[in-house]
Amino acid sequence: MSDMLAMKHMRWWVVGALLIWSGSCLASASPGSTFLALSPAPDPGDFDVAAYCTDPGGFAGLATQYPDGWSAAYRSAGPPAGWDRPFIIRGGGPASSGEILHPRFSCAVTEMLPVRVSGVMSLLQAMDPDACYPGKPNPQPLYREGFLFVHDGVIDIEPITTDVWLGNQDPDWVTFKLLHPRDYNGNGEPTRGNASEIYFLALLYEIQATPDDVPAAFQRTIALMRTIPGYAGWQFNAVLQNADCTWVLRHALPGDPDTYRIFYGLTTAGEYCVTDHLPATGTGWVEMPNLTLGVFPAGEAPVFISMLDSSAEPESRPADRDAKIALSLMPLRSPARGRIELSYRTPPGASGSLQIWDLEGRSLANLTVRAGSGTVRWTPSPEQGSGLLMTRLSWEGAEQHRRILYLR
Amino acid sequence: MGLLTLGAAAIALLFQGAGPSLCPPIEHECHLFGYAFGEPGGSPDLLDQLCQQLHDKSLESRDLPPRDSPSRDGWGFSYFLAPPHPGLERPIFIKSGAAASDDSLRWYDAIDEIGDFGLPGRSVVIGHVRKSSYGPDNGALLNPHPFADTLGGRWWTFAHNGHMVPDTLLTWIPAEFLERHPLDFSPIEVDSEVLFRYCQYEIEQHGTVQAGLLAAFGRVRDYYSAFVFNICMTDGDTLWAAHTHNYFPFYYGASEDSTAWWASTASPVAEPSEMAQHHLYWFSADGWGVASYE
Repeated sequence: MSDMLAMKHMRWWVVGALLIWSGSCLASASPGSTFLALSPAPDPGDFDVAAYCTDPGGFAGLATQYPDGWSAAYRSAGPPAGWDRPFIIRGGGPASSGEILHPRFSCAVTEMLPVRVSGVMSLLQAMDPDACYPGKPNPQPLYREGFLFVHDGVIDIEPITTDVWLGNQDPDWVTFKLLHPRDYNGNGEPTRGNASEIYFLALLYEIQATPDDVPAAFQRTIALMRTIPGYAGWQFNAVLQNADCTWVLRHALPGDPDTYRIFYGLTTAGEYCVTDHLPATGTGWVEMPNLTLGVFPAGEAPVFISMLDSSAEPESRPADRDAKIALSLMPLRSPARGRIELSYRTPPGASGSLQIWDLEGRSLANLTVRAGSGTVRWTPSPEQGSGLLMTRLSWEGAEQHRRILYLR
Repeated sequence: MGLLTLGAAAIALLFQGAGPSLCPPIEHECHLFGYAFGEPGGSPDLLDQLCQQLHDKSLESRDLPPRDSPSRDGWGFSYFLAPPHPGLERPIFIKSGAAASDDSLRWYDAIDEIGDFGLPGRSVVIGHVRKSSYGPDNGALLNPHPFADTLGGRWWTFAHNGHMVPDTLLTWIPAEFLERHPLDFSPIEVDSEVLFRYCQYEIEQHGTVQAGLLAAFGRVRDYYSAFVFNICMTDGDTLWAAHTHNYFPFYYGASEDSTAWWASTASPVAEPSEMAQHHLYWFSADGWGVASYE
C-alpha cells in the first residue's frame, strides 16, 4: 500500500507518540491571539488555573504582548433554566496593567471561574491596522450556532476575502452567506475586515456538511485555505468549542516550529487546559506536535489526529450533505406589506407544511412546501389587519418558527 | 466662545426656530429604544413592536447611496436576567455587525432570548441599530452599543444616537477616573462611549444619577450646540432617557397601568408623546419624572 493510499484509507491516524514537554521553554510571542481553553477531563492535575487567571502576572500578564483586547467565554454549570449558549464577555485594551487587572476583565474572571464547565479566554494582538484596527473589544472568540472559535495566527484579509468569501459561487455557500452575514465585514472592502471570521465561517460551513465529523470539516477547510496564493505564510492555529467537545488545531509554519506552539495539561479542578503560552506553574505539560488536531471530548481523554494530509486532495463533501442540513425559515421582509415572503431550506424527504396564524391563534394558511430550498409567497385576505403573524415550518417532526409583522 | 461654536449655535437656532420642516430630509443616524417594566414582567408584544421599528430602520433604501442608508452598521441589545440569577448581576449582550434586516436568524433569535430571559420580572431592555460615525475598522465591527460598565457597585448600560467629538469630552474626564473605568475603544474612540464615561464621572461626582446626568448633559449642551444626542441609560431598574436633538425626535409611552415605560426614536404607536428638548426623563415601575438641563 502506498503512502498516499494509506492516508486515503486512514483518514485520521492517532499520533502514537507525543512529544513530552520536560524542560523549560521561552515561549515566543506569536502574532494574533493568545488563548487558554478549558475542557472537562477524566482526572485532575496540579495546575491551578484559577490562580493563573486571577494573577495580573499570569494569563493576563501576556497583555504585554497581546494588548489589544481580552475576552472570557464559558459554559456554566448552573445557568438559568433553558439557557443553552455560552456566556461571552469581551473588552478592549490590555487585560492587565502591571499589578492591576483590568476592572471588567477581573469581573469576567470572577464570574467565570466558580461556575465554568468549559471555556475559552483570549487576548489579542491586532496585527493589521489597515484591515482590522486595534483598539476595540477582542472579537475572539467568535460565536455562531453553538460554537466558540479562536484563531491564533495571521491570515491576509484580501486573498481570503477574494478567494474564500467571494470566490466560491456554489449555491450552498451563497445561501450560507445569506444566513451568516459577517460581523466584521469591511464595509464591503476586500482589503478590510477580520480574516479569522472568514476562516471560522468557512469551517462552520463545512461542519454543517459533516456535523458528526468535525475533524473532516477542519481538513476540508485547511485544504481550501492551502489553495489560496500566499497561504504558506499563514498560520491556522485554532480553538473550536461547543458544549460537547473542544478541538484544538496546531497548524503553524512547518519551517518555523518554535512559534505557535500549543501545550496542554491538567488542572486541579479536573479539566484539560490547552494554551499557546506555557504557564510557569503546573507539571506534566505536553506539547502538541505541529500539523495536529487535538480532540478533547468533554470528560474523556484527548485524541490527536494528524493534519499532514490536509495538503493532499481532501475528501469531497458528502453527497448526502443535505440530509444533515437543519431546517431554516427566514422572512424576506418584515414588516411585510401586502404579501408574506419566506425563504426556507429543508433536508431531502417528503413534503412538509408551512402554517401561518395570527396572535389570537386563528389559522390563516396551511401551505405545502417541497424538499430543498425555495421561497413561499402568500397574500393575506383583504380583511386581514396589520399585526404580528406567526409562522411555523414543520418537517418530519422538526419545526422552525418565525414571527412577521404584517402591514396592510 | 469660538467662531466655530458661534456658527454651529446659529445653525442650531435656525433649526430650532424653523421647526421640523427644515430638518435634513434623510435619516442617517442610529436608532434606539429603552423598555422598563415592573412585575410580573415586560410584554413580548411590545418588545416585538419596539424591535420591529428598529429593524425597519436598517432596511436598505434604494433611493440613497449605500453609506447614507439608515442604521446598517450593526445591531445590539442589552438586558438583565429577570428574575435575577445568582452570580450574573451584569447585563447580557447580544450584538452583531451586520444590518438587522440582513441578519434575520440572529435578530429574531435575540428577541426570543430576551423574551425568555429578560422579560419575566422587573427589568430594563435596551436596543440599538447603528449608523457608524466614529470608531475603528471604519465602523465595520460588532455594534459597540449598548456599552457597559460598573459604577457604585452596579452595572450600567448606555446607548446613544447623535454626534459628539470625543476629543473634547475626554478632556472633561480625569485620567484617574479613566484608569478605574477604562474605555473599550481606544485609541480610536467611539464618541458615544466617551459620553457614557463622562456621564458616569458626573454621577460619581454628584452622588445621584439625576444630578449627575443633568450636570453632564447640561455641560454638553452648553458647550457646543452641534453636539446632539438621544440617550438611553439604565442600571437594570430605572431607564434614564435624554433628548437634545434639533431634528431627531425621541418618543415615549407607558402601559395602561403605568408600570411599564418605553422610550424610542422609532415609535411603536401611532401618536406617541414626544420628549421635550434638553430634558432628562426617568422611568421605572415606580413612576416617572422629568427635569430640564437647559
